[in-house]
This record gives sequence, structure tokens and C-alpha cells, in this order.
Amino acid sequence: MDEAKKRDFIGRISRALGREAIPDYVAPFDMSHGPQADMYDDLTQDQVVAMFKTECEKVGTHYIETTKDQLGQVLLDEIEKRGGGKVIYPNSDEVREYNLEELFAKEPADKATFIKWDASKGRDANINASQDAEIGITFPVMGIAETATVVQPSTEESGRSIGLLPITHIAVLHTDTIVPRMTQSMAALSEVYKEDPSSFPTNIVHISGPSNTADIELVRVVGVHGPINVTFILVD
Amino acid sequence: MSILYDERPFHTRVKDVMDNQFKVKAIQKAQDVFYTKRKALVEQVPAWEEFRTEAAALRDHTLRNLDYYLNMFAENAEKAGAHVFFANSDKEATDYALEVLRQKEAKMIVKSKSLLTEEISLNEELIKAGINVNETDLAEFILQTDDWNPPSHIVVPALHLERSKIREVFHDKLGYEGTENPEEMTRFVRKFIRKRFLTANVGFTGCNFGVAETGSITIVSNEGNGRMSSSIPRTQIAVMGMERLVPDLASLDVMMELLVRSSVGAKISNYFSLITGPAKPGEADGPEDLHIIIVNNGRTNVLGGEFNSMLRCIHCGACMNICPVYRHITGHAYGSIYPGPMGAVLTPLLVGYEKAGALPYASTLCGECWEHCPVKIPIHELLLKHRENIAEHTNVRPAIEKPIFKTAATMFANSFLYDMGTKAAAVGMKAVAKDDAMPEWMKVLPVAGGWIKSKDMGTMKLHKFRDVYAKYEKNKKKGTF
Repeated sequence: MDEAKKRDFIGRISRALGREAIPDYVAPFDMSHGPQADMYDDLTQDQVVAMFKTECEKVGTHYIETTKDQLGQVLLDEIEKRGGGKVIYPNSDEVREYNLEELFAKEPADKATFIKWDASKGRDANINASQDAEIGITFPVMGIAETATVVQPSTEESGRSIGLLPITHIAVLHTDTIVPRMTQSMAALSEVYKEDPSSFPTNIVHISGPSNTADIELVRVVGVHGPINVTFILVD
Repeated sequence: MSILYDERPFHTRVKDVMDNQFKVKAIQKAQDVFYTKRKALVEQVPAWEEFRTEAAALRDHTLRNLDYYLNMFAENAEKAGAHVFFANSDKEATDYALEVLRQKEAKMIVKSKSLLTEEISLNEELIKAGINVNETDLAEFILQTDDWNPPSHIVVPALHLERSKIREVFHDKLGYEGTENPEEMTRFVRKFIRKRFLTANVGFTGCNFGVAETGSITIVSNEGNGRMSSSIPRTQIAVMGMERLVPDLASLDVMMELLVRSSVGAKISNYFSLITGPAKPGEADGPEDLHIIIVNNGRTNVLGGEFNSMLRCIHCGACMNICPVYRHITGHAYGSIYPGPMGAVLTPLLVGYEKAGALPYASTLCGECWEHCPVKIPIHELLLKHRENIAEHTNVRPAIEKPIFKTAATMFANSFLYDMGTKAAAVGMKAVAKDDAMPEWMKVLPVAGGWIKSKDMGTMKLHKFRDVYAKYEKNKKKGTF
């Protein structure tokens, strides 16, 4: 950053605000009395999960409920239902936890083939693999009930392209991570940041259904640049 | 595109729009659709007014301490590895962008939607430098393909083009052979632009909110082009207006509650990206370099002054989705990339009264814009303030106004003259009326023509409100009401 340029730029702002320099301290804006602070306070976790599902139905986002034991099979069924083909998945703990690679290996190649995101192979290999894939699987870290949103960070193990370039995105979400509103999800992200800014994910995307547009005569068309199909698998 | 893309007189622009009824109908449909959807959603939020109040206070707090928060934002963005550049003017911003492109030896760029890049004429400068520019938002792509047809709405900018016209443009310029079905055309564009996403050297994006606490930028999008531009090219350049800051992540919750509901009547956009620095070493996608250009370009003239509250604006478009004037004259009559009520306030602030002095008069001052504004900008009061300034300090006001107002003052000051004058007009209009409406030939008359040209006027009523009211008062006294 050009420090002189910054001083000049911010100096103009200070002067417009009627002062000579940037204040040393500004009392933070108090959000504790805002309407968002206690919204949905009285809901149980079951009710929050129910709200997530209701919202999915309202906006037409496809979701499937399952348990940890059944996840592998449900995933394979959904892959088949979405037409199979090449599937890209992250190199993440969840994949190991659910022994997904074992399952994937057993799947006949004419139904689906599986490619693992592997950052060590470099940029082009991973982006091209995602571009070639028909389906991408990711494991978002949180869900937001009010808007049926999943919160998806990018990491070395799970890149941006997986849930972006393929035509179908399957997101596996644990129901105990679903919070009522962005109030709680942003508070959680803020905690992560405060703990260690350098570990904060460089890209966190909130995904609330398939890519869409209404740019031509306001006709809603699903699937512009991002995935055309989205499935949320909710793991209890 | 610069801020003003059509500098012909206001009335010429209006007349042009009126001659294109498809355009007018399209805007009216958009207003109806967005209004209905927004209203239904807002009714589901019992605390909507509290949210508006909180958001307005939050924006004011940020603006009042903008130097403090910008400094914090820049420091944290740098800590996360981003390059921050402060641009006092449009030229400084585009020069910096060109310098980055030169260093990267970039030949092709992709761009997601950003009004600010229009404001600073980024596309023109890039094209002049021989860069292959690709707008990727579907509407912006349509407008670019149609030889940079100007936008008519800030959220759905290509609404004035019917599908058959879009098909024709795609056919002539891109060799598209499909039908005019919106889905088929969208799929065609998906394929066409995907190739460019994968090969572009640089992705340009706007920034809905910068977050001071973390140095993050955010992108709200439905199509996914914001995600693509910030995920696939090796370099990302984000352009951000200096006022588009929030203090912390918690603030995003409040702003997002209001932004998308107000904008298109949805609870949330399909995608909302929070980007903090470039990709970390070891990550296999995302930008290796992230440049954030923070733009002033005249905003310090507004900050802290009588129009300060205009800088609260979060560009949702709610004011134009409700405005009765915008409904009839559409975005193109404003001639500015910032149309509608917000544009009628902002454009003169950025380009001056000489060039945009007519815009504050494109309003009935009904105040619906303020009522629908998620951050409670008193737009109608600011428009009135503009008019006061124009009347007091400039020569923009039409010369004929002076004698008219002098006569009016005399008339209004004298109730007998006023009464006689309007009743005479009523009798006169009644005499020429056909089916209680003014006949076509009246429109060519100098004074009456101006009065009735753009309105479907009934005749002025003999029983004027003042008469009815007087009767009411009389009856009230008699106890018959």
C-alpha cells in the first residue's frame, strides 16, 4: 500500500468530517438492542432444523434427510439420480470419517467415476477436473435456517471450484450446525477470526439454491454460471 | 460508460422513452413484480421498521467514522494479503487497474456486475488499452453484445430489450441459431462465457460491503458470476466505493436482512461471498493476487454535508421499484447510470447541476422512495434541497419560471382571484371536453398542452376541494356529519 496516498485519501475524509486526524478510538456500534438479537430465541434445535426444511420447500431447493450410517448410500443414490458421471469430492476429514472412498471405489465405472480434489497437483489440474465433472460434493460448515443457506468455506482440501463448476452441487450438512439466522453464523465466523485471523478462510460463500437469473423479461431461469442442480443432504 | 451516458435535454430523453412502449411496459411489470414480492416478504418481518432504523443508524455511525473504519479495513485487508489502492478520482482508479493488467501481461478479463466500474468508465479505458473485456452478468452481457446499450434499471439492466431483440443480437453478433426462449438463450450464454472464465487473466468484481473488522469484501449475486470472477482467474481486482463499509461481520447480518428483500423481494441472494485476502499458498484455486481499489471520485464533497445521508445508500433499487415517475419515464430518461430517485439525488452530486440539474425535478416528492428505503434515506427531502440549491445558487432554472411564480404568488395571495381563476378554467375546460376528458387537439396549445400532454386529465371540477371542505365545515357545525 502506498502510505502517502492512503494518508492523503483518508486525510480528505477526516477533514470532510471536520477533524484533522483519524480518531484513536471509536466506541463500537451497539447492536445488542437490535431486533435481530433475540429473534428465534425460543426455538429448540429441532424447530430450527424444521425451519431450514420448510424454507427449502418454499424456494424449491431439493433436500434429503439421512443419518451418519446411511450417508454413503444416500450420496450414491443421489449421484445416480442426478445422472452419475464424473464426481469431484474434497480431500477432507468428512470423506475419511464416513469411509466414502471405500464406497466410491466399489461403484461401477459406468455409473460414476470419482476424482479427489488434490491441491498438490496444482491449480490447472484441479480447476480442469472440476470443469470436467458433472457433480461436485462439498461439506459446508454451517446452515442458516431462515434462508435455507449453507455456509461453504474454501480450503486447501476443498477448493472453490468443486461446488461451482459442475452442473450439480451436492452439499452435505450436519443438522446440528444449523443456526436460525445470519446473526448466529456471523457471530461464529467473527469468533473464528478473533481467535486467529490468519486461519480465517479466504473465501466463504453462502449458498441458497441453484444459480439463477431473471434478466430476460423477468423470466426466471435456473442455472446461469453456477450449478443448475443443488441438493442438500441433511445428516442428523 | 461514464456516469452520464445520455446528455441530451431531459425532455428529449423522456420523449424518446415515451415512444418506446415496450420499454415502459417492461419497467412497469418489473415494478409490479418486485413490489408485490417485496411487500409479501416485508410483511413477514414484524420488526422491519426496527431493522430499518438500526440499519440507518449503523450506516450513519460508519459514515461519521469513515476515516477510522477505512483505515481499519485497509490494515486488515493487507494483513490478509490483499493489495489496497486508494483512488481519489476515476482516472487514478483506472490507471491503477491498467498498471496491474500490464504487470500481469493480461489480455482478457471477465467482469461481474459493478455500477462503480461504470462510474469510473473502466470498460472504456480497458478497451482503449486493447484489453478484451467480458461482462458476465447475463443482462450486462446482453447490453455489451448489443454495442453497449445503456442500462435501464440497476438490478435488471437489460429489461428494456424484448426477447426477440436479444435473440436477434445474439444471432447477428455471436452466430446464435437457437430460439428466443430465455432458458435456451441463457444456456447459450453460460457456455459462451464459461470458456472466458476459464481463460481470463483477471476477474473484476464490485463490492457490496467491505468489512472493517476483517478486511473482507463481499459480493451478492444470483447468477454465480461473482463467484466465478473471484475463484477462477489468477488475479482479482475488486472496486469499492469508499462509503461501502460496515464495521464488522455482525453488521452484515443487518444489511443482508434488508438488501435482498428490498432489492428483488427475495429473502437472500443465491450467493453471498465473503472474501478475505487472496488464496493462501497451497490453495489450488482462487486469486493469487487480490487488489482492492477504494474510490472517492467526489464522495468527500458529499460526506459530512447536507446530502450526507445519501451515502447510506446500499444500491438496492427499492426507490425506483416504487417511484411513480420512474414508472413512466424509465431508467433511460435519467440518462445516468444511477437512475430513479436515488440517481436523481446522487447524479447531480457527482456531476453537478449544470449537467444534471433537471433530475431533481423528476419527482412528485410523494416520499414513497423514503418509505421503501431500507436505510431510511429521506430522498424526497434531498430532492427538494437540490431544487432549493438550484433556485438559489444557479441559473439552471428556466427563465420563464420567474414571471409565472410572480403571477402565481399574487393569485394565491388573493383568494378571490384564485377562486375566479380556477373556476374560469373549469368552465373553459368543460366547454371543450369530450366525454369528460380533454380532447387531443388541446395538447398543441401552449399552456394547457403542457398541462395535459403527459396525463390523462379529467376536466377541472367545478366543485373544488375548497368548496367541498367549506360545505363540510358548515355541516359539521350544524351537526349533520
